[in-house]
Amino acid sequence: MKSVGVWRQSFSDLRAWALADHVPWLGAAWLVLVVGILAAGNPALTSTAAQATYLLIALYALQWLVHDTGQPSLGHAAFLAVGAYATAGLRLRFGMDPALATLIAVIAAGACGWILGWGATRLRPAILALMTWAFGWTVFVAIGAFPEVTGGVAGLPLLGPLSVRIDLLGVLTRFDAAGHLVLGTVLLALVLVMYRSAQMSVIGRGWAALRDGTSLATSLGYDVPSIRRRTFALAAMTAGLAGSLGAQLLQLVDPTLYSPVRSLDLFVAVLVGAPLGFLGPVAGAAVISGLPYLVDRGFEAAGLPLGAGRELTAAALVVVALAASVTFQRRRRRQPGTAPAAAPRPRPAAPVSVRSGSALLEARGMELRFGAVAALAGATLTVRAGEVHGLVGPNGSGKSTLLRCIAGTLRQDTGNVTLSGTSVDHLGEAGRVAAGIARTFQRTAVMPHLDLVAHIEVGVRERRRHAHALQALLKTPAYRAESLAVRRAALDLVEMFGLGPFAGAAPDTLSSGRQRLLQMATAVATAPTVLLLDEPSAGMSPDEIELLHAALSELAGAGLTIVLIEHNMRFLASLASTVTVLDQGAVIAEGSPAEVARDSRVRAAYLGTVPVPG
Amino acid sequence: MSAGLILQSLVAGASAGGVYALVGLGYGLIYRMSGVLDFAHGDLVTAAVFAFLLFVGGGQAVALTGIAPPVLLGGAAVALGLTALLAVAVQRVAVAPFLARGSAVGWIAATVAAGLFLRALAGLRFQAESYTVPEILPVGSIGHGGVLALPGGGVVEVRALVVLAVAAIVALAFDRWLVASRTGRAMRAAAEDEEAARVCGLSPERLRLVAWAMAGLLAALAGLLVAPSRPLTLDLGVVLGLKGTAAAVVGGLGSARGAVLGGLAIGIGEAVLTTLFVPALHLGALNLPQLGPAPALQDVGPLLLLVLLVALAPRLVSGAAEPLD
Repeated sequence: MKSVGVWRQSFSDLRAWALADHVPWLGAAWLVLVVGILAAGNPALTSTAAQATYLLIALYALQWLVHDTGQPSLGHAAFLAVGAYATAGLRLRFGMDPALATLIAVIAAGACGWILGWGATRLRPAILALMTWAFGWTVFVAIGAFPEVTGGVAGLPLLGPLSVRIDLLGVLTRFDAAGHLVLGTVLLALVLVMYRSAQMSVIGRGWAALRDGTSLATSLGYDVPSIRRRTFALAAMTAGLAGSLGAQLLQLVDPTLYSPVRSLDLFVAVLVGAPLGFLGPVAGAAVISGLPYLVDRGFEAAGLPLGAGRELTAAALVVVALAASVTFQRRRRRQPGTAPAAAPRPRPAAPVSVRSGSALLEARGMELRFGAVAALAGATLTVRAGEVHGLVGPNGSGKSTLLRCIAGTLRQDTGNVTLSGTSVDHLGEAGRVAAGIARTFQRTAVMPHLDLVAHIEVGVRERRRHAHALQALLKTPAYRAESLAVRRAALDLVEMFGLGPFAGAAPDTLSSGRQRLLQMATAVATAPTVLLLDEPSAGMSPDEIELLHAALSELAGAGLTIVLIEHNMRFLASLASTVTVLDQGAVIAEGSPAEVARDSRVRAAYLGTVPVPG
Repeated sequence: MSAGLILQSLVAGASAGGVYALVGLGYGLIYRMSGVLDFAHGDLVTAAVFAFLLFVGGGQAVALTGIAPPVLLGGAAVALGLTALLAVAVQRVAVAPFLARGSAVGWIAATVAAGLFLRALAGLRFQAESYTVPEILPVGSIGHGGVLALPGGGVVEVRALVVLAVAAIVALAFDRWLVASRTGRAMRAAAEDEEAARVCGLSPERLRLVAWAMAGLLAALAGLLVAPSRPLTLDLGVVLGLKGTAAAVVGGLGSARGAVLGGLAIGIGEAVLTTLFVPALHLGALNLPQLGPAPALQDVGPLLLLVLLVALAPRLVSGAAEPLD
């Protein structure tokens, strides 16, 4: 038992070390290894190492897809297949220049990924997995079904090695195993640098938002469909490149390298490596390459079929990977109280104040039917700049529907929405966030993988101007300055919403009331001109309601316009200057909280009318 | 194209489609009951057929004729029962633990692994490239060696008609069971709202197991119906499973009648594609390169359809999209 503890401890150490920024050292070690292999001059060893670099390139792209953006791809080997077969086909049939053929093959793989990503926009991860799994099988079955094109089980030979001709310089480079190793190392370094820098930039924040739920990401202004399409296409292109170069290294397109079992291997490699963070794919590659080799030898010795051995190995690997992820996936919860010291608060982080008194947000004649039900029947809402506007009504009166239409989550059948006199009807949800309309949900939704400050920083993303990948990588002065400012703003919001004592905690360990406060702070971070809140106080304890009240008062005091759905009338009356009452999708009263409370139609809507006996 | 040939491909297609519908019914039932996609479903089909072979022939190559009908029926019964148990085992081992933790990646990976495990087990015992499976029902003795002439000049295998009939009866019975029986109603209630069902004294966990067992039975039946018609390989089940998935998806994942219609649409579609459309392409003036034997499209077509449907029309799949806020 003691040895297990020791092993576990050393694993944790290794993990902590790998998660810290020791990547440059690892890169240097890899370079030394590559130079050593090249110097040894053993062709088999060189070829194996080159294959390993291509495998790693594909794995890092998959890790990115699975871990950073939360899109499980169970058919990744198929993208490798597209790259390899397209290259071979173009070279064999059309005698195409190898470099050009490789390029076209990469684009073909990217196109497949783009199409798959097209539907991935709002799919749950499980359906996405089904789609990619089916894609993997489709490609594999097609390889067997069209032997005239694909060479069937024998595969396709490639004519001659990969060569690159640069006419201007009169250079022709042919790639032998050593050439591939150098090329693979350069490409791997390139992929890693791009991956790492994107991870640290605003782009990476976008991934984090995407991973933890598309609705939340969209409500914070992220254009989820285009991010998904791009990530899928890019990961597929990277895999296609690895497949194409790998085949040209082997001088053979070997169909067994692209089976669904292989896809599963790749997926498992990423799962196994997950606890190691950035080092994960290296460990994963070692496991999925080493274990099958050993099992093959064992099965060979026992005279058993190798195919069954591969499948058993793959199945066993999944078990190992799942065990690993169950053991290590839950990140260590940092204890409350370890928060970074909040910066002194120079001013409320509340955004732009607009000239108060004029109509800022208008929704006119809003109608929306769901089948036979009229959720909105001509409701009109006018919100003046700088006011806190309450929206009340019995259950099912259309309050949330109205907010969703204003935010662009739902589209009204008729009616229009204007902000500062400009129509926003043509904008999608994300576009409206950019225009200044932010919203929180009725349900509680947070991103569990970020600490509170990072969570709020996700909301700031749209305001960042100096955090593109290259700037993030080089850590330019503008990037540093902006990062610091963003962090300050986020810390301000943490304080404003009374979350200071929990700044280091994982969001999903907070009470649901505090999660809702966090959600609001993140929405405020998008610097809205109008903030739409759907029952913010629901499920909050009295002290949390006090925090909420203080934060909203502060925001309102700084000039932020707030629209608030609320059932707690005392809470509402203390904040709102105007209240609009909805019933059955239409406005039945509007005025100050006191006026509205006296209105007989409002009472009737809430309590029902007493039928006159007779 | 003669009317007889069209009728012939329609009948053959409907027969194949009936089998896809059976697979799709079980797949959809599982999805409806717990939102789980069973990636091992096709391998349950494979497991059923190999269990049958194991019972009938002890793992050796099986003679196509001369096996006593009671042995054949006994083998079928064993295969059905075993597959139902295997399905329940998959639920208990590969799905339930991860469902409880809310880890989708967990049950996705675990069901894929369970499928591989079943295939590998079958592969360890059955090491040849492919096997032949004897007919369970005596369909060869009807008509001219099991083939009937259709009006218009086409022909149809008696086994295709029998398969179609069995599939139709089972699908109808399944639908009635789901609509009218106590268990069926309880299941639909639990699928609708688990919490409410629990309050009514139902046990969603138990109902889920029933759903998995039922899905296993349907998958096994599909395998036994289709296996005698072609060389049996380890990949048979996966492809059949994916076609069943396609049937369920075409019919709006989770709807029983939808799965049947989806299965028929896919079966007929692939038959038309392979017997009418592809030869027409080759014979036409287009002079396309030989796309390979037409049956190849029979597998690639539906799989590609599944991928493209989910990718381009995800609204068809009920519950595929994330909930709206």
